[in-house]
Amino acid sequence: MIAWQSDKAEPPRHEQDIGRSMDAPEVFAVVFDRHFHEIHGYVARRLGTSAADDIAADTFLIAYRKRASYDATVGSVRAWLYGIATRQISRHRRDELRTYRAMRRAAGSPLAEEHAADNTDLVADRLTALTARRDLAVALAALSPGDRDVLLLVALAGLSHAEVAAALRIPYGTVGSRLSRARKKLRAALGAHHPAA
Amino acid sequence: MDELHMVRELLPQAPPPATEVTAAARARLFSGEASIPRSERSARGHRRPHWQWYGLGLPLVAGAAAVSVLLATSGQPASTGHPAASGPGNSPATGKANVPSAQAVLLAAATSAAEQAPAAMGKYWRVATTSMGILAAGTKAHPYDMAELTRIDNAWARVAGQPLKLVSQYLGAKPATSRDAAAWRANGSPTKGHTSFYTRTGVVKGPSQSYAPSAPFVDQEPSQFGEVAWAVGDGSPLTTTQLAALPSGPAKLKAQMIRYVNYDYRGVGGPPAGSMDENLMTEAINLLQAPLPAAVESAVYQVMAGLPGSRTLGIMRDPLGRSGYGIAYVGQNTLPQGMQGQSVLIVDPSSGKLLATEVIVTTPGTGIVRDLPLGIVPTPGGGRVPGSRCKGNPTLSGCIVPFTYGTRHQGQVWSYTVIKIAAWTNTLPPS
Repeated sequence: MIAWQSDKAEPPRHEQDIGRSMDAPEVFAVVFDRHFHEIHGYVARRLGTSAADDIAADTFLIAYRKRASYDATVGSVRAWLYGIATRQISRHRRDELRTYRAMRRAAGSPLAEEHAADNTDLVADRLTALTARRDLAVALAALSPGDRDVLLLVALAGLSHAEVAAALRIPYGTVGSRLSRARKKLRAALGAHHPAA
Repeated sequence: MDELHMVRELLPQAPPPATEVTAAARARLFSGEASIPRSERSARGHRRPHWQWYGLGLPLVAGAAAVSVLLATSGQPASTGHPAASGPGNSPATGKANVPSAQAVLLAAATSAAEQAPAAMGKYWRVATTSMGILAAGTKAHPYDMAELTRIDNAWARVAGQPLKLVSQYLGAKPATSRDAAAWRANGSPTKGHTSFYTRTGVVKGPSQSYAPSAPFVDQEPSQFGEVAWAVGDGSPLTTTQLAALPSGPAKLKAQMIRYVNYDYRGVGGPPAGSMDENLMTEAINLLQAPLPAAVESAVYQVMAGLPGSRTLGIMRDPLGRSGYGIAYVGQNTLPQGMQGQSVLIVDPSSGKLLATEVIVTTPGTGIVRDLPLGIVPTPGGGRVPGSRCKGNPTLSGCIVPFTYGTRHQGQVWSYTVIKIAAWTNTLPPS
């Protein structure tokens, strides 16, 4: 059993209730209704909608099967579900990396267009923005899976450090070190395109 | 706008799931209730240690890469079912009748692996690979293929507190074959390439990518886990001790590998994408690069020998020129729209070493390489945009569709990964 941080916030009241009574299917139905769209949305942002349809459904099936192992003292139901979803996503790492690769190819520094007469500033601007997207996609792909999971749980799901720790079952301090390492790498990769630079 | 905000923009919010998706997921949830054994409902979920993992998938991303030499050694498309015979660098096996079956080659490798002297454990388990991928390039008048190379050199410390060192480097791109080189020269011998885009306003020349090598990317930090953490099927790493404890009998090992592939899916949603046999082959190739005892390595080959659909291609040279047997296997490979390929591994049955894996083109497609069809948004959250909508919206996300020219041909090596080193060592890889 992992030692959890003592500074973790007390889970909200309804989480405790769910934790206690989740064995009952009707209670789990509430969990499903409350969280399905959110978990689906998170997976869709990482792997696309059609993969999310399957993975979100699997996440809740697994959660349902393992609901007896849910421990409200460790973290919220929401964090627990994100943890299961993240594990499912990790099984599709090749697909995720392929997406980043496609994004890398879809972007870059604009040159003169092939059919000059048809070019528009709009397209040129769009392609400029794509350069930063390419660098970001490359940097995301180069992150270690553990770092990427932490980064995306914070950036996309808006989880707190304590929630990420509970979701991934890693020590609180590791969340901070993984996040800062991931952000540092992204900043380095963005270089000149970084708006703050 | 910080980098987290940029990540949110790069991976935009997706539309909510369709009503029927939600309904199906909800129904599936509760219809499964009766089939779940009571014991499993109350059992505390088996928890694996949560290591940080460093999987094999990652190196392949860094990008595709290619070597013209390889094309001289590539075999015939595996779909022909004949031994590789026509490539200039290929030594055809000595007559068709004498070509051992794929199963025989793998069992010979299993025997050799079992007989190898136990290697002294070093301070680090080091795996060095070079990967090639084809980068379609050029213009409509002068299409050609560039071969992009990326090297990975990783070392995992065996002892806690020792460094972990991950080195990756883009080695640049050059024309894949002499024919590609001619088209490349006709195009002005460019030192960088670009992707083109279909837009409302026609074809637009897009991002440029230098063909020159990059500086190595080095990640060095103290090992957090004290042992090699080798990722298996579901991403959970195994330590050296756990790898050493894997079954040395093929039946038990296969059962264990099936559990890796199926982890968390038992009785729930079936295995991940692809058939179980495909996944087992992928897992076996992964395990052959891990620090395994000789008996377990031998068992991995025996498991591979038992998987259906493999065919021998005869003697082939790997991209480093090392000689081995080519085996076409049922594997997972993804090629651009309209193309199909055959997964091939090259193994040296006399040493029991896996030398390389390749994907060889069997259906070349048109020569225009589109990663995504028109109207498919190249972001994970985007989904499909009808092509008709793109016509009026050149800046709508997803309506700028990347494509490249290039030369497709049957028998072309589309990608490979060659395993240069997979061994214990006492020195960290150079940067």
